[in-house]
Amino acid sequence: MDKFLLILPTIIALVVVFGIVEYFKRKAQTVEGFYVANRGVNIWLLTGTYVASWVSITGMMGWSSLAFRKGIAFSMWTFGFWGVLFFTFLVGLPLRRISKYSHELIEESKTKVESKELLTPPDFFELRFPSKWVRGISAIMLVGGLTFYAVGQLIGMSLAMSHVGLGFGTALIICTAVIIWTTVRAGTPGVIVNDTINMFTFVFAVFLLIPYCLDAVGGIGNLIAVTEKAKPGMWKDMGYQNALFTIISFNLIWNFMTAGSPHLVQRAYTAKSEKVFLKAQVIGVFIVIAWCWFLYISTQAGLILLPNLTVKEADNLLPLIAIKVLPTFLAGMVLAAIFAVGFSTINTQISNMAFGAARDIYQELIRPDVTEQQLLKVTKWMIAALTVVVALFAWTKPWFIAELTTWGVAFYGACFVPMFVCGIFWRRATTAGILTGISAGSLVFIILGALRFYGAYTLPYGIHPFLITLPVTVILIVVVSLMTEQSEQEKRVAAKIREVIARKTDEPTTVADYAVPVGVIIAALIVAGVLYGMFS
Amino acid sequence: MADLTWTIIYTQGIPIVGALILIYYFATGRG
Repeated sequence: MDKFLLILPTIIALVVVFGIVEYFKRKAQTVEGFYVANRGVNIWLLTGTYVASWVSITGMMGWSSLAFRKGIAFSMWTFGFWGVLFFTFLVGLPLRRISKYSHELIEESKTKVESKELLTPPDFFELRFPSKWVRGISAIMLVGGLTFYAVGQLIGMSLAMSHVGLGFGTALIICTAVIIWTTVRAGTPGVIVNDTINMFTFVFAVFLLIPYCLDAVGGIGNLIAVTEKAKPGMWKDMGYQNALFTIISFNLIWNFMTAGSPHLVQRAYTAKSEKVFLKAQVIGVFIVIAWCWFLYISTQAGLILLPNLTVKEADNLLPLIAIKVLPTFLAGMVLAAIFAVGFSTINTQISNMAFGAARDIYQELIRPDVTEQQLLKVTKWMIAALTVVVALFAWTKPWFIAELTTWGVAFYGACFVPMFVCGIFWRRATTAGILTGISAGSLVFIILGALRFYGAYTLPYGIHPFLITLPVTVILIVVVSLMTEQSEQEKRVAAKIREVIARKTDEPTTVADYAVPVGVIIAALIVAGVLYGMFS
Repeated sequence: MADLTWTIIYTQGIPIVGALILIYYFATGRG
């Protein structure tokens, strides 16, 4: 009976997921529908899909464990908070605008982007830097990097399900089947609605957890007093035995990764309007920050409740605490929330990998004359094939997966972010500059990573290869761009993009629009007040 | 005992800064 109650919320979550895709499959019958939900996503759904994609298994399980080992501040400093703002105002918003006026741009540039639409990040790259190499390299980086990221999510989801008594292998097969079916069935429209429902699940689960956790350890005052005594610094700004340099490295890496990750960038194309996109980001970042505080305060209770937890087991901290302090059904809700968090990140990643493989590699580089229905079919097959590849990696549970994940996604910070920012804001950036920058950057990154992996050479002071790669990429882009000439076509597109970005919006702001930012400011101040009361 | 003042300023400051930039975008007719 207990086991049934524990698994019931996950079963309910699965039923909801399947119901949603059946309802929304009608919106995914065309390429534009399947890829970007007909660019009609409203503010609530956009907030839901972004929050659900930012918060992954890494944020929920991995950083709970980091907070448990290194202090709550460590996880709070790491999270890509300013990366969201950086992404919003320097990448996402300009891209949403460019996609709106892409008809003007593509007519001028004469590049062949079928149906003149921006559907994937490499679509933008080739538009601004017309070269098949730019599209090819960025598409391979997109598919490869997201694969490793997705493997981590799938392992986490399967481990969470193993707490309800399923074997890891069985859980993995179930998760793989669910991901393939739901993503193939309703594409982006289904993914976005499911993300929003999942967001409510995991936000609710964490809000539920905190009173039980604090109650179990005799209140926040007692928790702080006991843990500060055992590990001084757990509740201070620098955390427990952390070097300032480590905190800064983590902060930079995660923030730049947030701003460059293709599965987040591509979502900008789906927004109904720029206004909707902007508001959703600001509401979303507030929700994520509040959620993090709640979650990491709750899981610190593990320091008292689970004193013998080893570092290796610490990744399981959240389910263990939930099972310990919550009534069975509610603990099951936390397990369902872990499933929801993993599912809502991986479905976005898998669909973007398939878009990259089908649109950017198959259509643009191999079969340019593909029809819309054929492209849809190939995309669906890619979803199935790539999910199986991810599952095979996950099956072996490689011990180096954390390393691979960081390598995979740090590519985006080191290469995609400079490509976006230079492409959008620097008129003089040339295709040659970008190609040199990203090729050399990737190479440096892979060499440094491989040397570290084989133990031949590790950068001093624990410097992550990303911190070397980013400046190398940026310097090469700038130097080579200044040394090379742009073609006439590049010049035209670059000038046009700057002109589009500088335009005033044709959708005037009303007084009601100000309610969102003012509401967020007030809510953030209230949360700050409560936190000051607790922690200073 | 606990002192997370800078962490609180960092985290809560970010949505506030975001909301202020958003207001700027609305006020200048760019968003």
